[in-house]
Amino acid sequence: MKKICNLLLQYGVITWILVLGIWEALSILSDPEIFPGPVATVQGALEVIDDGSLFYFIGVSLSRVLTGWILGSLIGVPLGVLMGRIRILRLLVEPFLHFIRFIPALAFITLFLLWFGIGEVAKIVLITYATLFIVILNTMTGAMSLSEDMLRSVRSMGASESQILRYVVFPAIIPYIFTGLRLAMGASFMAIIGAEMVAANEGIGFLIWNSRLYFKTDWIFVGLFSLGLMGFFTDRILSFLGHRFLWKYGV
Amino acid sequence: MSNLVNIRSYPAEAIEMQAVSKVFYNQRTHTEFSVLKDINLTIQPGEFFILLGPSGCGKSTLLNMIAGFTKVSGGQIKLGDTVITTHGAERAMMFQSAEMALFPWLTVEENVAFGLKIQGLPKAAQQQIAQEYIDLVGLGGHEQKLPSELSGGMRQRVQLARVLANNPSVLLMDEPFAALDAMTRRAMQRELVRICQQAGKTVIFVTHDIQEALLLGQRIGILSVGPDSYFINVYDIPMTYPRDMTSAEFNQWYRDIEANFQEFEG
Repeated sequence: MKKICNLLLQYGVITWILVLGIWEALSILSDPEIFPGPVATVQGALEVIDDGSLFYFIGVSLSRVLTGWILGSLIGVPLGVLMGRIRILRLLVEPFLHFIRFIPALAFITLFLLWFGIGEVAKIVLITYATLFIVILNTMTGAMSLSEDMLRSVRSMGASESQILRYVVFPAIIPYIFTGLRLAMGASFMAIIGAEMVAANEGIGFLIWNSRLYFKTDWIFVGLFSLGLMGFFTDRILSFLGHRFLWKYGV
Repeated sequence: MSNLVNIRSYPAEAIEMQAVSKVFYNQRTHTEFSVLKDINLTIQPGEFFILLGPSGCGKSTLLNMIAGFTKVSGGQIKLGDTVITTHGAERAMMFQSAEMALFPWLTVEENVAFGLKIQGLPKAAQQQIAQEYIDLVGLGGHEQKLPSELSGGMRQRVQLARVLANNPSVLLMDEPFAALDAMTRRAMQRELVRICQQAGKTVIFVTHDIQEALLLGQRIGILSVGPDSYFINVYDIPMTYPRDMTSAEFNQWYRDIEANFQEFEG
């Protein structure tokens, strides 16, 4: 019995029973019209599943997030490594980096729409932007934290700087890069919802924003839940892949 | 050793320090600090030389200058006829902390073969040479383990094997056994003596432990307490290997060197 309770607690089952219970109670105590409970939300979910929009929107939002996130990472990792290893470059870029990273991606929406049009490009650029600085900063921190002994011992084995970069620096900072990628994934989800609310006619952000027109608060909850689940599962998958393939590197 | 494959090798050459000095600049107090002053010493090829001195006397600094990681402030250090200005694969450095120096993501075998991979040796040759040195340091059977799966002493053996596999002519060792427990340290000291007698390398070994110095060194250079450290004395230790630290001769040397220290600490 104790063992079962422990397992249920461990897998979050008890947490969720509590959350759903409190939610339903709060909903009944307040106005279900503006605060639908879990039951109403499931009904709402069935509606958007039936007309096929929910999974389509999830797919749309996910593909935007993944595209922008991959692009941002592909740019961010090499830049971060170079900035961590080349002092001049770091001194040159860092002051600006610490300025611009405080401007949230969402603040750029209007400009990006102007520059890249209302199509997919603006949204993907936005996600790329949201990803970029997080990945750069984490990678750079990693590249700067390498132990001097490790670098010296490979130099004294006759390694060239490019060999050091490839065989030592890159593998050594994989845990930092990985942390950066996971954090950036979170930031990407935040950015895409904003963008889809302001300028999109599909996607989860659009679903949430559009539901207000019909006063479908239950759909809003469906959107919120979908977001939580999308974030949860992408993070789980990422973490699983990291542990499965990168454990040697200390992930 | 490995004559079957074409591994890089370096001529055995003397290391000559001529009027070497080192001054550090303290950025906080804007003052200069002279660590070493007027160091003159020649270390013969194949010699096991000990740099002995208290903490902060500049032993590691001198070692790093020989390695080419730190620049001299005055004078010069020569390897054969060449003035040392930068690091080179003929001078291998071994550090106190194997945790910091080894690659945690590579197996023992891959760690040992690392220098050979850098040189571009074929995979089979890498494995063959790595195996030879893994066996030499007594780690046979642990080839596929990761450093995190080894004890501190075993990790230090891996570092030693990695350094030796690269076939340097000079081994620069910065208190490599200081972090080990007493038992493991003894075992490693015996191993090092055995290996060095076999391999015929020049070794410059930094320590602050008189006993360790006497167990290992053919010559022991004693540095004074800084600033302006210099060689108080350079002893020739004619005792044969392996040395017995309970022998009367050993203890006489111990007393002499200890007395020499106290005299200068005043």
